[in-house]
Amino acid sequence: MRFAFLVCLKDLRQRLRDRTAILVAIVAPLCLAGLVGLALGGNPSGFQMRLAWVDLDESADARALQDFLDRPWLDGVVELVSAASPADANRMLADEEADAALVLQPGFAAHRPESPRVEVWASGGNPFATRLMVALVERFLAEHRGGEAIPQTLAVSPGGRLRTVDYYAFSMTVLFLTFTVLSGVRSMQEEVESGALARLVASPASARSVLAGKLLGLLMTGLLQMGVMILATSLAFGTRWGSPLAVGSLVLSSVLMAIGMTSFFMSVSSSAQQGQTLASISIFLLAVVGGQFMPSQGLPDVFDTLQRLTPNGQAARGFMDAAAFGTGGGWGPLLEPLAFTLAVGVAGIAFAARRAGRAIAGHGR
Amino acid sequence: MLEVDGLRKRFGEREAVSGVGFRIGRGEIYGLLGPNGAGKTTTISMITGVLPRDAGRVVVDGIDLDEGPPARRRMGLVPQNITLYDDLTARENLLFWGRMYEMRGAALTRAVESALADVGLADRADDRVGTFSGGMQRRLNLVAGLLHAPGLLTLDEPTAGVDPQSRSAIFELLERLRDDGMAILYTTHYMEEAERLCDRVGVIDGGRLIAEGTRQELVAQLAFEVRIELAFGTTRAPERSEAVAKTVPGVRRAHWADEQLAVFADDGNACIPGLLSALIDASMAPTRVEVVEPDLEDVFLELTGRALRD
Repeated sequence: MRFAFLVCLKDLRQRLRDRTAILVAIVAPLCLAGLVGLALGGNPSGFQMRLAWVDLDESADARALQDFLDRPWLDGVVELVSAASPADANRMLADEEADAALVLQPGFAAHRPESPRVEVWASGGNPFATRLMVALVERFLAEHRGGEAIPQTLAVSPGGRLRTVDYYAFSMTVLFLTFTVLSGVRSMQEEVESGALARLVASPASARSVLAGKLLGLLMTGLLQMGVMILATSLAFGTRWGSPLAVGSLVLSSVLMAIGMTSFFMSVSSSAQQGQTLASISIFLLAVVGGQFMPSQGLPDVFDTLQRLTPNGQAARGFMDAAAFGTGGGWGPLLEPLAFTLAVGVAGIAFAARRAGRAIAGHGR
Repeated sequence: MLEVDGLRKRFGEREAVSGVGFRIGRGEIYGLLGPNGAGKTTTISMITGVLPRDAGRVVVDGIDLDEGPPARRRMGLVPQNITLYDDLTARENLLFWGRMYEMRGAALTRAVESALADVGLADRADDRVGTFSGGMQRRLNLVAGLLHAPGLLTLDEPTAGVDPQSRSAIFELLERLRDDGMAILYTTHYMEEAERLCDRVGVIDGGRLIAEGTRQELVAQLAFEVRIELAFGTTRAPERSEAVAKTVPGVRRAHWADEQLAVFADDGNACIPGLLSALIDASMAPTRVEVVEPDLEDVFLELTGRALRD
């Protein structure tokens, strides 16, 4: 274990001396999140949505949903505005008098899963309003109907504030986490190519402890970057990341995901340079598909599905979901991003470690 | 200090090392001489434990390599490439490599300072290695393998791309270490290095150790006594000059290489008049004639039919 720590400390020292890496790890995501968030999000101080409420069911369930949305923790986040009819709600959306509309059709209380009687209508102006509304309704259905509805993202931060700048704080942190880890993985590949890893393996340290040290170094680099980003976005933008336990779990799984993903790309490449190129292009494409440059709300459903199929997209969703913990959310929505990112991380690391072992031995030819 | 028996390594269909075995005693420099691809690096990688062996045994200072750390800490390795970290200073690099060999505290500090002084880098100790010249990096790379005072030092072509001054400094350091009782395994494809530095040489080709001994012992195995080198002022047909030389009594072999004719004979003094006469009669008067002692290059040529650099 002592050898693993020595290798890890050496790697950390190297990373901290790399000014480019610090630029990529901290400065770039902060600048991008701040600029894009302010440009797209309008008011940076907070989020408030006006919801056009149309109750055609007028049942006890409908009133319960109304009460649910009137809860104190949503005060200042959701403002219910009654609409006389669906047409009236449509007009309010068109005139931008409402950010979203919730239409309870007759039969809402009867609840037939095959034809849900509740509709969420979106306006194009506020990408988060639909996401929030869907999440709130699903949460209500889950609580009142025995969890039959699948809970989706509850995009509300602990203080009841969800802002565009927060979204970009989460997504840019995840995006640049992969680039930060990539620089560490690249340096490891360069050590394989130069024979430095083979020299380490020839020392009294076992190959296993050398590889453990390299992994620990990458893990610490990622954790350090995430820690600094969480602190920086909290101080600079007032972003609230949510429950420390939930955020901590996601940070760990996201860092492992970033290590697994980047080391996979590196290990299937023939050189560090080629690996860097392949991984950078792949990370960029995954970021586009994973909705890290633009929220999938308001876009066709296929984008939401694609986001859920990308490890980075899952990580960003996870952080958004974790932001909801302070408002009484649960671990439910976090299980999918946690499991997905962990699985990608473990699989990628296992694959790359196997290839690294062969590469070190191959260097001795 | 080092006992190697029956080393074998196969990569797919190709047997890279086939039954290599030798011994190195304390205070001895053993050169593993062979062309690129002969199996030198594979052999050294198995000896240092970087590469698993298919068969064979390696014993360092009486300890089997399979016992792990006890054997490994008795060895120092200087690989072919520079394996230093550009972002770290010279001192930090040495401290790291020393710690990887279980050194610590005052002993480590002393060893690092002494190593820096040995290679003339004491005044650059706190500069990043990335700012060093190639020769300075080579010297630092060498002492990184010596910090823990190993009984056996293995060097894999440590002078590749090194300027003559640094090469000379490396040789002097190795000779000093040998005089202090260290056993040194040195791989090279430069015949001059093997002749200058090594007490004994193992000639390796195609993964097999084809000859072994001191320079004198190896040269004594040759079927000829001298090599006569002849240069010509103008371009001559190599085949013709070779053919003419082979007709001269006492000539064992003639070989055209590097724009000159090499003639191998039992007795130079007896052979030269006849050789010159034959060449002049064939309108190929040489502009330079030199009689030289055969060297390890000749040994390799005799054994394999190829030059070391082929």
